[in-house]
Parts: sequence; C-alpha cells; structure tokens
Amino acid sequence: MTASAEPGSAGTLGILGTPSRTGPSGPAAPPTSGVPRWGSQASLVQPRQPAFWLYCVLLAVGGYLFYQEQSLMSSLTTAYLLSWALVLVYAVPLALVIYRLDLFEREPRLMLAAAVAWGGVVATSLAAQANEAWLSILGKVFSPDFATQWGAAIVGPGAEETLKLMGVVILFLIVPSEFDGVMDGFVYGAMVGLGFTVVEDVSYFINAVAAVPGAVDQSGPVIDTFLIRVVGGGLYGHVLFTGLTGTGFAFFVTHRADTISKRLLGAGVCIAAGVSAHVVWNSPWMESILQTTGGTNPSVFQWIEYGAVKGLPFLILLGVLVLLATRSEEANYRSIVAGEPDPMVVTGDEIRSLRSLWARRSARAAAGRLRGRAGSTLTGRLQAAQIEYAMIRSGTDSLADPALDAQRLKIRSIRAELAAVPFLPQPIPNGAPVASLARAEMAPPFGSPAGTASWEAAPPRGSASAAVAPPAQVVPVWTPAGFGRAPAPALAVPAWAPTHVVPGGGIEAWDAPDPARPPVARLSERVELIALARAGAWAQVRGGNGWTGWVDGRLLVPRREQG
Amino acid sequence: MSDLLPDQAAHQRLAGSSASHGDVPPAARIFGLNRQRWLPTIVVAAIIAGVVLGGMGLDDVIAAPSAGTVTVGGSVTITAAPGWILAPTRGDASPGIELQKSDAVLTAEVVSTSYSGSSASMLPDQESALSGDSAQISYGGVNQALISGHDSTYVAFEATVSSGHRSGIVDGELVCMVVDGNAVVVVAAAPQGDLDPVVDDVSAMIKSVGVGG
Repeated sequence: MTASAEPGSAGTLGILGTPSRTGPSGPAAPPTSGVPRWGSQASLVQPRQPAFWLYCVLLAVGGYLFYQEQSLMSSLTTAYLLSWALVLVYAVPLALVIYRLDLFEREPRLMLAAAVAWGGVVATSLAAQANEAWLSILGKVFSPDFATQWGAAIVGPGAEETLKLMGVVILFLIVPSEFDGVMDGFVYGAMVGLGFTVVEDVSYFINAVAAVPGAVDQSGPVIDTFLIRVVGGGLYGHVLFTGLTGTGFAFFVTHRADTISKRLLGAGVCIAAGVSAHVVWNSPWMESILQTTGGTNPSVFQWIEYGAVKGLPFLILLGVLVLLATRSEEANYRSIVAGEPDPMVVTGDEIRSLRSLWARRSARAAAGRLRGRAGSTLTGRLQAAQIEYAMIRSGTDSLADPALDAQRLKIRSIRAELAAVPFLPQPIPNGAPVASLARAEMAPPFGSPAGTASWEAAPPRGSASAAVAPPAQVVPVWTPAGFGRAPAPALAVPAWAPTHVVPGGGIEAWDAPDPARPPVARLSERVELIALARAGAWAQVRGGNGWTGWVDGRLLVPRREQG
Repeated sequence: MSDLLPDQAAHQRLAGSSASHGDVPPAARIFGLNRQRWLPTIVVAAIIAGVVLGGMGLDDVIAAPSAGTVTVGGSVTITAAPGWILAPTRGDASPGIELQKSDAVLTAEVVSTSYSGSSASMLPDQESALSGDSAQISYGGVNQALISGHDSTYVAFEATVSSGHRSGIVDGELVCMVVDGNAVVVVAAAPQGDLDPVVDDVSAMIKSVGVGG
C-alpha cells in the first residue's frame, strides 16, 4: 500500500479500534487535492537541486564583496558599531512581525535566514556593481544631468528589484514545497528586502560620517541619517518593494488552478507595484515637501510627510494583499481540518479567532477577562495546538495517524485544563436587552461545535429532558480513549437531578459570564436546571437536554423552595 | 517511498527527511542534479548575469560621448576626455566653459588674453574668487610645474558649498596657467570621494589646454 492510496479506502473512522502500524492504516482523511501540505517542512540544504549550488556560489561571491565593504566601513569603529546597533533595533522586531504574519504554516528558519542573507549579502553586493554600470550607461545614452536626476529612480528599481526577486525565485527552485500560498512569497520577499535594507542603511550611515571632513563626529551623522531613513521613511523601503514582488511571484507559482493569463496578470500587477513603489520613492517627485527656508535641513516631520505621500499608497496596497493572503490561509486551514470527526479539536468560532494576530490576541484577552491570566495562557496554548494539529493533519493521509491522535488528546487536555480554571466574578448587567424572542427560542450555541462551546460535559444520553429548555445540538463524540494512546481528561457527567427552576417571567441566559456580551437566550419560567458552578453572582446551569449557559444565579429558585 | 506504510510515510514527511524532499531518482538527474530544475536555474543565473555582468560589459562597449575640442576663450582650447560633455549654458552668462561627467565638473576660463605675469601671480586672485563662492574652503600646498610646456601653478582644495545642486563637501583642484599670453584658470571639482575616479580624465584635459589653429 502506498502512502497516497488512502482517500476513500477505509470505511470506519477507527473510533473504537487502535490503528495498527502493520495493518490497514485506519480512517482516511478527506481528499486533500489543492490543499497545501503545511506539515512538510523542508530543509534549505538540497544538494540535488542546481539552484542550491547557484545560491552557494553567489553567496560566496557576494560574501567576498560584502566582507571588503564591511572591512572598509569598520575603520570608523564608533560609527560602524552604532550603525549596526541602530539597524538591529528595528530589524529584529520587523523580522519577528513578518515571521508572525505568516499565521499558520511558518516558514523554516533556515530558509528565512537564507532569504535575509540573499538580500543583505548577495543582492546588495551585486547591486552595487550593477548600479554603477547602469548609471554610467544612462549618463552616456542620455546625459549626465539626466543620470544624476533620474538614475536612482531608473537604475535602482531595475537592478535591485531584479536581483532581490531572483533570490526569492532561487529559494523557490531549491524548495518549491515551501511556497504553499501567496503569503509565503510575501514572507520570503520581505525577508530579502529586510536584509537588503539593513546593509544599505549601514552603508548610508557610514557615508554620512565620511562626508564630514575628518569624520570627527561619528555618532551625530549616523543618528541624523537614521532619523531620516528609518524614522522618516523606514516603512516604505525594500521590505515593502520586495514584499510586493515576492507576493506576485508566489501568486504565479501557487495559483496553478488558474489560467495562465490570470496568473500572469496577478503576478504582473504585484511585481509592477513593487517596482513602481521603488521608482516613486527614488524619484525627485514631490521634493517640494522637503524645501526649507534659509538653507536649513528638512525636519524629521518633513521627511515623515514626504515618506507618507510617496510610500503610503503602496504600503496600503501591500496591507490589502497580506490581508487577502491571510484569508486564503484561513481557507486553507479550514480545508485541512475539514472532515475532522472530533468536534473538540477546533470550532468554527475558534477558526475565526485564528485568522489574524489581532483576532488571536482578542480571543486570549477575552479568556483572560473571564478566567484570568491562566485562561489567557491556556487559550494561547490551545490556539498553538490547533495550528499544530493542522500541520500534522496536512502531512498525513490518515485520520488515525498516531501523531494526529496525540494532538487531539493534547487539545482535549488543554480544554480540560481551561475548563478547570474558575471564572472571575463578573457583574451581571441589569435589564440587558435580549436580541429577539425568536433568537431566544433558537438553539443556543452552547455545546455546539460551531459555537463558543461549553466543554465541561457531553450531554447525558437517554435522560428525560425538560421540554422547555433550549434544545442542545447533538454533538458527535470522538472518544479519545478509542485510540488507546492516553486516557482522556476526566469529564464528569452529573446525573439529571435538577436543583433549581427558572422563576416566573423567565430569565436571560448568556454563553459566558461576561457582561460585555449580549444574552443569547431567554429561558421560560419553570424550566428545571442543574446549577453546575458559581462565579460571583453568575451561575452556570445545565438543562435536561444538556444545554448549558450562564444566568443570574440570584434569580434562580431552588427546587425544594419551589415545591 | 512505495514500500513505506502510510503512517511511516507521514512521519517521514513531517520529519522532513531526505526521502521525501529533494532526493531525485538517478534517472532524473543530469550531472547528479535534478534534470527538471536545470533550465529554470540557468534562466535565473542568466538574468543575474545580464543585470550585473551585462551592465558592466555594455558600459564598456558604449562609447562615452565627449565634447571633443572646445574653445575656452580667445584662441585657447581644451579637449574633453571621453564621457565629459559641455554643460548646458550657464544662466549667469559666465565666461568660459563647463564640462561635466556624472557629478564631477571642470570649468575653464580665459581671464586675460594679454597676460604678462606668471601663473603663480594669478593664484591669489583666483583663490579669493573661489573662496567667495564657498561657505568654507581650505587649500593644500601650492605646486608649480610646466604642463605641456605652459607655466602652471596649482593647488588642491576642499570646500563646503551650499548653493544649488552642488551643496555639500567638494574636493577640487585649482589650476592657473599661462598659455601663449593667455591667463587660463581651470577648476575641477566633485563631491567628496567622487574626484578620485576622474582624476586621470582631469589630468589629461589640463594637459590638453593649448592654443588652437
């Protein structure tokens, strides 16, 4: 049996049986045609790929030129060290942001380091040679004045963007499997751009020092140039340019299902945008913003305004592309986890909360408000485990893969830990409006895999339920013990012994003891409930059909009093 | 891969082993490398070579335009080195000519057509004129020599200029020459660090100053 012969080959989900390593492999995952293999993390070192050796040769050539340049600059020791310290101050956080923007399948660190090295060592060194030659050609073909005025706007984007983009292409040729989507092109392009801009900035800082006779002040010119290039215009540099061109390249190589014309158009637009951003940035357009009176230097604010006018439209474009790429990644995540029989792995709401760094943080913050720091931390661990699950799932053809089982158990374990964290006391809003009566009579999301589920217990089977309680959805239960790897977290299921009833007039119910949320249901009077837990004035209750929610515990009538 | 069990295959993929990445069957290799990736890799290498080596080669091939031999004033001429062209007419209608190549400029002017003094005696006036055009200027040592048989005095300078396009620190050379009774002043200047690449050109042009037919 081959590894790829799984889809459709197994009829059961293997819930009860332990998959054998030597027998049939157990349940097959749904066909994953067109779904990226996130779980495949490849190495940069691919001696069988010609591009790997091209990369090595060019890294050696670039490294030699880079070393010569750096040796020369390091003679101004103070300026040199200060320059590198300043660029690292912004480069390290920026690298982390780029890395983390890739929300699901983060790229191998060696590949990212290779991208930075290409930008900083290879592209800068080769571009220095190319720029000089092409500027000279421009001066010969047109005029020296033209070359002086427009050379940076023509030669810079032409030579530099080509050389940087070739770095992304080479990385693709070494490990094509690492380009799963448009986002990967952005990440690699931005990393190449980051490497380039760091080395170029250091060069500019040192030149500013050398331009002053005697180079007596080695820190002032560095800081001035830092303010202009990084504070004033740092957002609109090579990270932006190559982020755009890399996105375009990735669009072409990953949208194989599209027509060639659509792929070329998409790639062309992005690459043209990246090159255009560089042209506009280097052009003498809008220099009137930098004009001053009395021959003084433009202020940092003028540089910020100048940078915003010339660079912000392209930055916004890149932001939109990254957002679209993120949505695509989310869709890929949904495709990968589709067909998962265990509803405890990830809910629809949880997938939505994974779609951006902001959404993830919001989910952690919400958990923190309800359950304190431990709740926030555990929610973060749950998110990480759910992403890790997709990595494993995309790398296997079998739903009964032991690694997948282990991850399911890990997720359940985290959920159990989370459920055990007590809620913080929360005030109950008075007279909070109920969305509508119709909604109140609908099935609340509690217990639903698609809702903000209550994970404490599965609904009791076969018990008499109170007809007037909101109906609970039937949740298919994936029994972790069925895989025989580790015991499932203890999930206590209390017997049906109502402790309270809903008072006359009914009461509102929430999906969590959070006054910031609107009520999600209205319980009819005389509905019998079990009080499961207390959190301040809040009471967590369960209906006879397994529905759970939170109500104002002060309003509940103890069953014995109700008599 | 075909003899692996599915679970093993999945784990091997997860581990990123060579069996699932980059290992190319011998039949699909050329010179031991993946046959399918040779062409795109060669295309990438060609693009990089085109940008870098192509640019350098083209720069060598394309002849630099030159202003040729131009009249400085009276009967005095100068022959521009390759790549040096006449600057557009200066708005202030200054006498003389201005040649430029990239950021470097060379101005030449005949200040007198019937000069009987030495080149050294011209220098103080020219230094003060140059100082008037600069925010700050410092001169190196004075040198005297016969350049192409003409009495010449020259001095290097470093000036801070704060007007027009050429604001900043510039390095330069001030040359005073007496050419067949003509007092000729040549000033070559470039932003700091940019004079060295054109110093041979400047030297050749100064040597070319003479009286035309």
